[in-house]
Amino acid sequence: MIKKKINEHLLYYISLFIILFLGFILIISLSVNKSLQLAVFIVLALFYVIWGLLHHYMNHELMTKVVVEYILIASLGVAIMLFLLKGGYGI
Amino acid sequence: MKDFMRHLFFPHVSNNYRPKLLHHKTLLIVTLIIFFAGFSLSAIRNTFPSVLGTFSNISNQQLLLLTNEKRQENGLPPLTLNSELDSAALAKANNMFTEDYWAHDSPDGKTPWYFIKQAGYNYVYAGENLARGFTTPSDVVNAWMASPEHRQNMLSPNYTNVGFAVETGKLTGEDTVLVVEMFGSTTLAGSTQNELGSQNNNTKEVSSASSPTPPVVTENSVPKSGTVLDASKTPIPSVKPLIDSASFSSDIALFIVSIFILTLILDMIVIERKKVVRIVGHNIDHIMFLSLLLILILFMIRGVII
Repeated sequence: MIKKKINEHLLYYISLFIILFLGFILIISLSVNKSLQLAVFIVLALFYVIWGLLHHYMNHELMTKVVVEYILIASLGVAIMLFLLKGGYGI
Repeated sequence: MKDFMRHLFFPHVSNNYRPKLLHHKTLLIVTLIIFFAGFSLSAIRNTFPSVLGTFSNISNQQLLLLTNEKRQENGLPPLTLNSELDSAALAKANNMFTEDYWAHDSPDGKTPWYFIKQAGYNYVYAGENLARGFTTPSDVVNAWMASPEHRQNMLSPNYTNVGFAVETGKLTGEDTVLVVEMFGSTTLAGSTQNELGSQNNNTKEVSSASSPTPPVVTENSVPKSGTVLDASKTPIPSVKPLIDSASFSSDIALFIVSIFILTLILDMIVIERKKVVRIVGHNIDHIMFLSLLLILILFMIRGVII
């Protein structure tokens, strides 16, 4: 069932993977500038929200609850990154 | 307890078939707690540096021991610790913190050789390896050995002396542990003291690890004054904190991200099996995003060399 779902939305998942992978490469290449790493991660989280919501919209299943969920997961990711960089490395 | 755990992590009738951890209210609360915890940790770092801060277990002696181990494994004679090269390495480290750069050459053009000369070491060959963000000496040495250019310095038969500096401070906006390793030799490779006597006007430089410079003949006289540059400008007082903030925060971050990923996977599998219809986002999206974060944390806590 999960496999079927992935196959149905294969193009979407591949595109999301590419976005996240490119973001990963960019963040790693900025390894000596943690503030810039945080900034790029925030932009990446924003892309993740937009991409996810766009996908839901195209499948006619976009609802307020879903929008809030994507924003909360992205915010959680940003909060964890901020926790690591601010608390751990003192940026 | 069992019911609480099931309620928190497992889709069940009690949580409307969505783990409580993934409910909007819980997500918001967890996010806010983590957000403020980051600022609290930062405040603790600044207020109580003896409790929470940046430190490493790297010492000059351990670095010397491991460097010589690698040389002996490759059939090379061990290097001897040289106090002038130690001074040069310390001066370089302090200069990096003071002028805030992460490079072999300073923004105003000071090369590694400048610090070596200032320390009074009359080199024929010299080299430099830099590392930051490592917590153990073996990690530093292994990282250098894994890089062809740094490995070349570590295993060069041209060098006879080595000096180290391990300093903690704020570099390019982050608290870090900086390791400087300076190699040198006051004699030409393979030459005897007599041969050196006739050639000691030639000063040869070999590369710092990341910016190889072909051997060049430079000036004849080497300044001997000023053994240590800016030695008084140690950026952070050498108070060893109880807890290393980088390890502490990364362990917590990894734990939290892992918990969320596992909960999302569990939720996805159970819901698929029970064929429950819900209006929620795609778990696979969230898993991909949080997995990226997990991998990023693992990469970010590793040290960097140049």
